[in-house]
This record gives sequence, structure tokens and C-alpha cells, in this order.
Amino acid sequence: MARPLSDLHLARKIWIQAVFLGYSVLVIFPMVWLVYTAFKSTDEIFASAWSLPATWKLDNFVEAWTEARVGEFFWNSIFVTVSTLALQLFVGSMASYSLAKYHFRGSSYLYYTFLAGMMFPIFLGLVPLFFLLKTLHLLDSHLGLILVYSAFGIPFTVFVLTAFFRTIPTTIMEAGIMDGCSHFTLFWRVMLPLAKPGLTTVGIFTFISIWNEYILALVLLSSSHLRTLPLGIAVLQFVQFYEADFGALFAGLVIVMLPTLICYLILQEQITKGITVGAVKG
Amino acid sequence: MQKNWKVGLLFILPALSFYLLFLILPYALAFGVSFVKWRGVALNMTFNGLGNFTHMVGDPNFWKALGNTIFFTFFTGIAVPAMALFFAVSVTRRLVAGARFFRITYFFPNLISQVAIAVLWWFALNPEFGILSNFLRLLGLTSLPSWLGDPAWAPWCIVAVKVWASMGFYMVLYVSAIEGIPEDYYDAARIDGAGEWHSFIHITFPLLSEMMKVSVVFLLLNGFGTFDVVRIMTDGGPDRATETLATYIYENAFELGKFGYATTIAMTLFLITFSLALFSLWLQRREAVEY
Repeated sequence: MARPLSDLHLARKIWIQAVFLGYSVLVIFPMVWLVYTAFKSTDEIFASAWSLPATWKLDNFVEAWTEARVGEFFWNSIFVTVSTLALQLFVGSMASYSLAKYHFRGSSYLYYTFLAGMMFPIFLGLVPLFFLLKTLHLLDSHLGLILVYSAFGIPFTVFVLTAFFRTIPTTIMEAGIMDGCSHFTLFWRVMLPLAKPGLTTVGIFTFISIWNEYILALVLLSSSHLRTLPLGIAVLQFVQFYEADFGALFAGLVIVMLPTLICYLILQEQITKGITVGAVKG
Repeated sequence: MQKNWKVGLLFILPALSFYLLFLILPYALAFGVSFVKWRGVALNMTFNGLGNFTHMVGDPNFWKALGNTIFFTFFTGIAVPAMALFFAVSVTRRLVAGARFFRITYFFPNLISQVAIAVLWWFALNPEFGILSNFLRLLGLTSLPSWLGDPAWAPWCIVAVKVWASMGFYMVLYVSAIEGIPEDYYDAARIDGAGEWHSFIHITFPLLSEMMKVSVVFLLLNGFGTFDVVRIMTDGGPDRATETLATYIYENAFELGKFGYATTIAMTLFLITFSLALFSLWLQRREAVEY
């Protein structure tokens, strides 16, 4: 640490330190408990809540991945998340670029129209959305879910990326046009690479929120082979409760948690910065 | 700046069409649907005027759900900013050792799916083999409540889990706002003999007001939309003690098939959230403090 601790009374410093340690135990311990419990057999889980597993076997993970179909749900989640990311970032960045760099009548209204989407609670649109997708024959399909996710992600994408494109000097565009670039080449080859930090921020947040999304998937998907991970885990909780078999459920929970936690530990700086970007202007 | 509006519009068109079709259209339809009696059979919709609203006013479960939703929003809305502010100030003002470690770990729950958090705590709160009851038994306590199974305790458990799940996010918000305050202010205050508490009251807190506004709106939206945690941990029970507007909307629409009525409740939810958000911005309307 660069500077010494503040000159508070020692007693108060100890008190604050204790509160911090206590809360970190409250955050970390349940997660650690979850991970080692995932290695215990169901009998061991019932016998003692605290004990470490007698042997560290991967049985629960194998059972979760195959029999409980967590593996299938995992790939569904990967597919939905990656497709949403690609679609939302592509259409969202084009729109943001235009809103930032093309000036025409009504473009600022369009900008606010996009932002307005952040005001509505998801529950208001849920029933109409369900019937809209039914009418379009997109209900109970990954495609439908991806389209809806992308649409719901557009306000945030436009909000962050428009601000970002505005910071890129217009002279770069003009130079491109002088060189005879087409409008799309200019966007794709010149402007988009310059907006990479903004794209990363939006990308990380989209990844985390889509990976963890529950309510839309719950309403829009019904076939079991289409389930995403949160949906699969929720069903697993129900099933395993009645079968009193919790090993695979714990293993499943570890599998849902890992990707976003790993992503955070690698990209921690960007995530922290991204939260601020989103809030300061929101 | 480009003036070519045709190209400009062409770039916007794909995003705009998605957005209008899958986001704006459903919301617009919701306004209409909340006035009809509709059980989901395609054209079998009958106009019900304000009938859905009068039905709602006479529905005790609606009031129960509204009361619980306000309860959750209020107590998380008090606990989360208070804790986040305490942690953020301590971390940025160097009142604690190992600040970086705490900043990173406290954010962990925000990365985990609400479903996973709910399942984790549902198990941890199990009266027989959960860690909480086992821990309290170690301390010699007997006759423990059944937590999620007890109508008196279940709502508090939901509040605690919601606080656990979201505190870190608000801490990061406040930390970044405090880090934006020039160090000179604190140095000047110290020279004038101000302690940490005075610095907090006269420098940190006033300069945090913009971020406070933002976080209050976030907390309102988040509290009134409480769904995942309740759905997984208690499914609104026991005896609707934890039912929220969101779980009640879901139940009416997708379990009972009362689509019109569900949308009426959703419309009410929207109007409440929207006016509360505007009201809280109005309450905090005084000019941003600039030194």
C-alpha cells in the first residue's frame, strides 16, 4: 500500500478490520463450502454439514455432466451467450457509430428512443413477448431467445458505445473517405478496431448477464433439451430435492459459477471500470 | 461529422428493427393487454375496461405481494447502501489493511447467477443439514426456527440473501465515486484539524450525492423486480409470506393462464416503480455539490 493507514484510534482500526474480515468470511465461506461439498457423496452431506470429503472424487461432476444433463445445458448456454454477444455487438456497434458520427434530422431522438428501453421492468413486457414469439414461431427455440436477448441488450450497448465513438476524432473518418473507403469499410476496418475497449466493456457485461439470465429463458423455453444452465439448475434443484440426492446439484452449481468467476479474476480491472462507465452516465 | 442521412439510417436500421420488434412492441402491447380479460386463447380476448384493476384492488394476494415487495425493497434499500458506503469509505480512505483483497472478493456474489445463489442459500438455510443451523447448534443454541419454512423468518432470509448478492456492486460504485474526489480536499481538511468523521460528513458524503441518486434508482428497480431468489428459495411461500409482485405475475400468467390479469399487475408494478424513481430523483433534486 502506497500510503500509511489513516491515523484513527487503534481500537477503532481493529474494530473496522474485524468487520471487514467477518464480511469476507460471510462472502467466501459459503462458496468454499459449496465447492468442497460438491466432492462429497450424498450420504456424507447428510451426515455432516462441515466435514471435508473423505475422498476427493469426481463422481458428482460426472453424474451432473452426463445423467443430470448439465453438460448439455452448459453447451446450450455457451451457444446462446456467444450468439447473443455476436449479434448484439454487431448491430449495436453499427447503430452507435451512426448515432455518434452521422448527423441527420431525428438522430438524437433515435438515441433517446434506444435509451428509453432501460426504464421498463422486464415483467411488463413478459406476456406480450411470449405471444409475440408464439406468433412468429420463435417460441421454445434458441433463435427466439437470442433475438430477445439481443434486443434487450441494445440500450446498454448503444449507451456505452455511442459515448465511445464520440471520443474518436472525426478527422480519422475524413481521411478514410478521402482515400476512397466505402462507408462500411470505414466502419469495419477503421472505426470498430478503435472502439475495442468499449466493445470489451459491453462484451463482458453481456456475457455475465446472459450467462446468468433466468426469467426470459424460463418463459420462452419449454423443451428440456433447450435449457440453459440457470434453467437446468433450477429444475435440478427440484428433482434432486425429491430424490434426496444432492451431490450432482452441488457439482452443477460449481459448473455454473466457474466461467463468470474466472472471467472476473482475469478481467477484474475492466469490469470495475465498466460498472462506473455504466452508472455515471445512466 | 457525416451528413449522409441515408447511410446513417442504414447503419441504425438493424438494431432499430430488433429493438422495436422485441422490446418496444411488447411494452406497447402491455398497455392494451392490461385492459382485457384473456386466458391466452388467440382471439378470445374480451375488453374488460378497468375490470382487471377493480379485481386487483379486491384481491388480498395482490396486496400481500405488494406489501412483501415493499418490505424487500425497503430493507435491502436501507442495508445495501449503508453497508456499501461503510466498506467503500473504509477502503478508499485507507482505514483498513488489505483493501484490494476486500474490493475483489466482495464483488464475487455479483458474478454468480441469482439462481445459483438462491440454491446455495436454500441449502445453507436448511434447518437440518444447512450450515447456519449447524453453526448455531455448535454455539449451543437449540430450538432453532426452520428459516425458509417459517413465515416470520422467511422474509428476512430473502432480504439477507438479496443483500449478500448485491452489496459488492454498490460498493464498487461508491469506491469509484470517492476515488474521483481530489485528495487535496482531504489534505486541507486534515490541516484544519478535521477527523475522518468530519471529512466524511463534509466532503465525501456531499460529493457522493450524484452516485447516491443513481444507486437509489437501481435499488428501486431491483427491489421491485425481485423474482429469481424468491422463486427458487421459497416459491413465494410459506403461505405467501414471501410472494412478490413479480412471482405473483408469473404465477398468474404462466401457471394459471390469466394473461390479462397478470399484465394488469405488471402495469401497476411499472407505474409504482416509475413514479417512485421520479419521486426519489425529485427528493434529491438539489443542485449537485461542487466545491
